[in-house]
Amino acid sequence: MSKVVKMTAPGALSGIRVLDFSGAVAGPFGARLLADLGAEVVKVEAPNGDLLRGMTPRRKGRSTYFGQINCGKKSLCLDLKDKRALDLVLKLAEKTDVVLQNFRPGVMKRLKLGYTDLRKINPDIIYCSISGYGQEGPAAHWAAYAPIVHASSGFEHAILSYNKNLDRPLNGSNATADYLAATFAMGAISAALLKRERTGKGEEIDISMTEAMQNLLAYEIQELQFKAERARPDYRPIRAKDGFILVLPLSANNFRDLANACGHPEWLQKFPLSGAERMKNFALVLSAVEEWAATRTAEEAEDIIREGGCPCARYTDVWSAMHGPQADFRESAVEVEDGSGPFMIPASPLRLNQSHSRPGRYVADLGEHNAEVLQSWLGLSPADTSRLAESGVLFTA
Amino acid sequence: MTKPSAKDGALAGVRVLDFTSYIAGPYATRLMADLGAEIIKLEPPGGDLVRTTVPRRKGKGAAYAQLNAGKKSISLDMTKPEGVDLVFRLLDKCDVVFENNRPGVMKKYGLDYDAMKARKPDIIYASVCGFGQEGPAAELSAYAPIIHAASGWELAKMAIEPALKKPLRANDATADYMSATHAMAAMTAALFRRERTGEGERIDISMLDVMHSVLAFEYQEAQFPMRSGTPVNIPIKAKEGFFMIAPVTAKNYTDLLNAIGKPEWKERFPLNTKTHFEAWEGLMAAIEDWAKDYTAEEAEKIISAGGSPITRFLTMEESMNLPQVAVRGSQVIANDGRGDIKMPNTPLRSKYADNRLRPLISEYGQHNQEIFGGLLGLSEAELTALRAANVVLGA
Repeated sequence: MSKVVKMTAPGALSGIRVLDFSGAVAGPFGARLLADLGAEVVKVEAPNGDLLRGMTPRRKGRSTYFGQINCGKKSLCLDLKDKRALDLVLKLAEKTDVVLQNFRPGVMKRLKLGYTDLRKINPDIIYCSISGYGQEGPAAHWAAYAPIVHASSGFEHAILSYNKNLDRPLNGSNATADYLAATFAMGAISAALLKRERTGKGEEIDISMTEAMQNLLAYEIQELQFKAERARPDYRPIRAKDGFILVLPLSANNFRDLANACGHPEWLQKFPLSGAERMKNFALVLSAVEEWAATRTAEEAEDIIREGGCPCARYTDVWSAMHGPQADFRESAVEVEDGSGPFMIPASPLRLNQSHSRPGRYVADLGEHNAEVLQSWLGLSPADTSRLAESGVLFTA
Repeated sequence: MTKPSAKDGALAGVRVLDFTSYIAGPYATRLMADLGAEIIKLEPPGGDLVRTTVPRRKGKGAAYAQLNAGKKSISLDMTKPEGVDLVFRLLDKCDVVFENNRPGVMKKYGLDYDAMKARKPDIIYASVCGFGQEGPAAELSAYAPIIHAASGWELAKMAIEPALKKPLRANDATADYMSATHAMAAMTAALFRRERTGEGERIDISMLDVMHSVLAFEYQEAQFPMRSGTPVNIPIKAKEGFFMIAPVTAKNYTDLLNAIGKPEWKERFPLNTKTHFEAWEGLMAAIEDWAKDYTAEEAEKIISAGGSPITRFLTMEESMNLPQVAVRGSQVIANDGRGDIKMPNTPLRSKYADNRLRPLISEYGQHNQEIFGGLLGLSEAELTALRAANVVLGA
């Protein structure tokens, strides 16, 4: 379907204007998802730019990590502490549908860009904030990045509890809490847009990364309140000749398919996965599969078990995964470019097949759209914007 | 859709016919229920498997309750033509259809997108599955851990943990939840588009795509490998317990060093220079040495007073009981007939719309009468006949 249908209809959010004051990952990725669906996103950056612009991997000074999270947006660069710049931004705020920001709570208010400030000049504005712990409350002012939230939300403890051999929490570099908060923000903004369309009323949205992470722990939260009468089966990696596979015979059909695929139908009688011995037998099945896999490469083992119909995957690095036949078929990797050249990013997972839902191709340099945005949104003339640049209100890289 | 008022949830008036089970689908419609949408969960004979998943109290799964609060339940047999007929009659009354079966299953029932679109052209029809609706991997069965292993996610975790000799044991369902939030966002955007254009939509969420999308650093590092390693966030061992710091900006770094009384470390461990990686590792070791004299709780007090990001590693229980949780109303109590259950409230918090977890935990088929009798207007005799023929099941 994705391969066949190439719709050119405008994106679901085309015509929607977004002022994106966010930096790092959570806010910018939420805004990128909006841009993928056709919203016009203007990223408002301070003179030193989004933190991520400086992060590796870089080519000729431009970060592709930044590029993946910010492609398709326009960049406006000015100093919000400069009264002249603030006045311009307030004029833009009158014209926007959505504001997205992820400063520490209180910062936007101090800049005179809080929700109550902007609602006065744009009563039906949709204003979305993302923060570590929420906009108010005893923890609101705590500084937070994703790894902090992973540790304080109970998430890292949960991972640790599955791995009894570990004597300390894992090193962290993934940004799960950021991405999760981003998709919550994107969903909440879309819902608020729908509601505004139907009632004419704006909205203030307050996304807490901590709440987002705790929602991801349904089993753990419930298991704490109600001791499970039996443990869940362990999902553990199985060692093959040259790597690892994961096998999940969770249903009776899965188990039958696994036993047949491995040529050991006797496992069904030997290790029944129902009844009192279920947990013990699950572990025995995995050991039997490990013995079977010892003489096969991970790829061979994966092929055989998958073909048989049981859920199975080889542990793959992201490079191989992004080049698999399925990723190619779906055109899951998309080429974009910045001033240093082209690179690949994953397409938006939000596939709306009847309308445009692909990432925009260009990654803006800092301040690249200063003149364009001010001219198209505010009707300033080229002479006006040149003057603003010369007088030090607008900045570029 | 009936027009909502400003005080209703953002999705009030939206009706969703929900064929999903397990996590990725149900959590997406739970979030939509939180926003006021009417979710009609259509369960096959036996019901959603998670209904009986541990932890249970007298046979009822608590995680099921958390993932399905606020929905109505109807139960019917889609393998019977009368069951399919009822689905199409419900379709007339619904805005969104949502399913997370293996690709091809809905078609087998005659309930695929083309069939439903023929009956209701502006339907928004969304699917979530492991690898996408078409392509060489489309029909592979997949649970979240399979996607974690196949997407690069698990090996990326392993790559920054030199002590590990094999991938981690994993019970988390990150790919399910991530896919759920993406699906919710896509369905909501499509509803907005329909409101403006009158057109329906076909949504196709692949869990593999989702995980690639949330591995931005790794996806780029795979294309542009770096000579030195990646600075990673290392848990710091204190006298008692562990804590995590994240001095990301220059200001965070200054605040951290001032808080622990070591401003001179800025020269010793210069971050954001060519030797960043070595300096980072050195700094982490030095902080751990400093932390030997403090419990994690003390270290958290000292460093957070300076404003630099820090937290102790909290257990689920400790985290659920943070004062912030109570103050923000982040926790909701629901009851499924087996007692009170604490649940995290919806993360989709807003000022005006009535967005919150709705504490209704439906029994299997609890709303058969309301939906078939009320919404579709079937007579008592018709419903009795459908029950007798085992088309409508359960209550």
